[in-house]
Amino acid sequence: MIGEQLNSLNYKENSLFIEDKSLKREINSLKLGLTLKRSEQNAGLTINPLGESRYEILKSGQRHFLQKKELIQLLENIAETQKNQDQIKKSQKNINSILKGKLKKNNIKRFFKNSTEYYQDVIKTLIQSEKIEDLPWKLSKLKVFKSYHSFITISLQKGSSKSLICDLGKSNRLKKYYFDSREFNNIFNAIRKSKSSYFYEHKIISKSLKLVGCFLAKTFTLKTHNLIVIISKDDFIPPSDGESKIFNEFSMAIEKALQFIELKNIIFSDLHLYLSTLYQLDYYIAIMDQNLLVAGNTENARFDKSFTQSWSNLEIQYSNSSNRFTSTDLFHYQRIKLLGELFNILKHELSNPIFGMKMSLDLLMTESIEDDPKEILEQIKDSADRSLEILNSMTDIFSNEKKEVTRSIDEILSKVYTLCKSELKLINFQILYAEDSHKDVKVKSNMTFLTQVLFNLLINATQELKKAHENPRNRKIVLSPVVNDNYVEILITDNGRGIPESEQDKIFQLFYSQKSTGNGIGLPLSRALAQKLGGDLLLQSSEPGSTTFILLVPICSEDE
Amino acid sequence: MKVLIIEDEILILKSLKMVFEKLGNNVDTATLGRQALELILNNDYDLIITDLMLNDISGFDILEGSLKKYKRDELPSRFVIMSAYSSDQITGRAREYNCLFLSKPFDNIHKTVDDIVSRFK
Repeated sequence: MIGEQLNSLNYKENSLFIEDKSLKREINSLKLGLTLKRSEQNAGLTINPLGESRYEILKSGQRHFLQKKELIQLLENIAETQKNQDQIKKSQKNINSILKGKLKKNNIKRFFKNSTEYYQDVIKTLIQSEKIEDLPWKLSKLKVFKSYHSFITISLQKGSSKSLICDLGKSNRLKKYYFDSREFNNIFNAIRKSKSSYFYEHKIISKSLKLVGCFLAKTFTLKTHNLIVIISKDDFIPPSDGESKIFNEFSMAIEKALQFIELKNIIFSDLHLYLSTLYQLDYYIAIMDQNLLVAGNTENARFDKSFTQSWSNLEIQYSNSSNRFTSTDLFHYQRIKLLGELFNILKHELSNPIFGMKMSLDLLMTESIEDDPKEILEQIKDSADRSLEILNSMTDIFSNEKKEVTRSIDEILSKVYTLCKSELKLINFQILYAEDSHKDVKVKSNMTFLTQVLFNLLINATQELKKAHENPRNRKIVLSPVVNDNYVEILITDNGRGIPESEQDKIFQLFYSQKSTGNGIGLPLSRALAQKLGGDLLLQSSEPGSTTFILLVPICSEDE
Repeated sequence: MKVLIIEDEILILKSLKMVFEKLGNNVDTATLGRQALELILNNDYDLIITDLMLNDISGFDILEGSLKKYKRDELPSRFVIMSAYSSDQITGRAREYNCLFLSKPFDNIHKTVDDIVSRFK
């Protein structure tokens, strides 16, 4: 095997000396474009024919033996490397000056101008890549790597647990698979710390990476990714110093291109962010290029052009004649909406007892009453107490205080129930504790936020149930608190029509609403509040007849 | 007159009962809808005053349940609907029954009761 023969052959450069004239002629007739050295002294390798298609290769006094077929392969490789090296030498001067200077992201043009034609092409090809994953394809297309068969990139997004391997092998089919970040880091560090740029498969122990023989590898530390680039001829011949040098120089040159591709990716995802932000703006915005809509948050903009600003060819128009809300206004809006709802409830809840008291007092003052007046007075006192209780529960939900208070789960749920009582009147409403002792578990939280979230969820459920079931007897809401180590999970289940599966992941999106009267603020805001309290709000499950939300609230640790 | 008053606010219920009784009527009371429906089906009332929001079933459910005994066009001559909820939706639905509709709170209990009694006598 040629691999076994040349495995330890560390020949210098690609310089070759051949004394035997007939062998020289034979090699010339192959027209490989090989340049031979004139003396043995400067050459890395010396080749002598031994007859019967066997050849001796001398390298630093060591002898190796090759068959004719193997020799030709070796000569081809050397010729290829020499060619590449020549090309590199020509552009060496320019490249060095470019590599020393820093390539700024908007300096690509200048880079091209100064770079040699060859590296211009390389980088031009590379920066067309949309993603780092496109790299193996791009590398395989480069002339300089014509004699290589395998092109592999392994990328690990910083902080991720899985790294992505893109393997373009001999079959010319790109295989993508993942492996563990720990394995990635081992390989990454081994390559990074190595002084040499080539490796043998047995040095890089990896179950996932299918490599054959010797390969060239380089690591890159980018802004958001760590990257390994591997190229291999799938054989055991170590690369010549020239090949290593080319690969190193190439790597230095493409580092800028890689940064650019990554930057492009970041900009791309930023663009998504900008666009989604645009859609949440209070204003209609359109960016027009000579009256053509380039970007904006409205497709059929009907602008009164409240404001336009021009910037070279682009014109930015925006108009505040929309019914959108800015996120900063959302909270305010929600509070006003809540105030409206609470005011309604307050009116309903208080008007009955106050009216009762007034009527009774009128009668007590004007009529002679046969019953014991003391009984009526006690009932009046009860009504007054009840009215005060309603007012108190109101202060919890609508106070401006930002402080945290400690309350038992039972106290919190009872308060919310008092508030929603009129809404829950024609609904089977139950609070089911897993264990009675859970009632007394304490929660330290901002009660304004917490009761608001619960209130919102209950009101949502009652509104749904009134639509879902004509007959009040069929309407059912269950609140069941489950206490875990650090959290109380409050499950809110209703037997309404359920949220269609296609809409389940959208209900927490701002401005998304299933209800014709909804505004798509209640649930997103409730979730934001729950998260602000160190908990969360999730949709556990939803199907016709059963929808369950889970509100997670941190509980007090025992020493508090 | 034999009167049934359905109302879950005890003080309102008691006051109405007292005023109706002072005018010489025979008054039954109920705080829950199902209890009221049973009374309606088992007794013959000249006047039934019902609140709309009760803790078990609504005043509308009572009206619908009474259709077992009364024809729909008989309801206005038997029932008075009373509610603190005067949203358009609710008053609209109440109006479909053509019954007298009382919005709570009423200014003068004596005047209100007198009006009702004179209508139903």
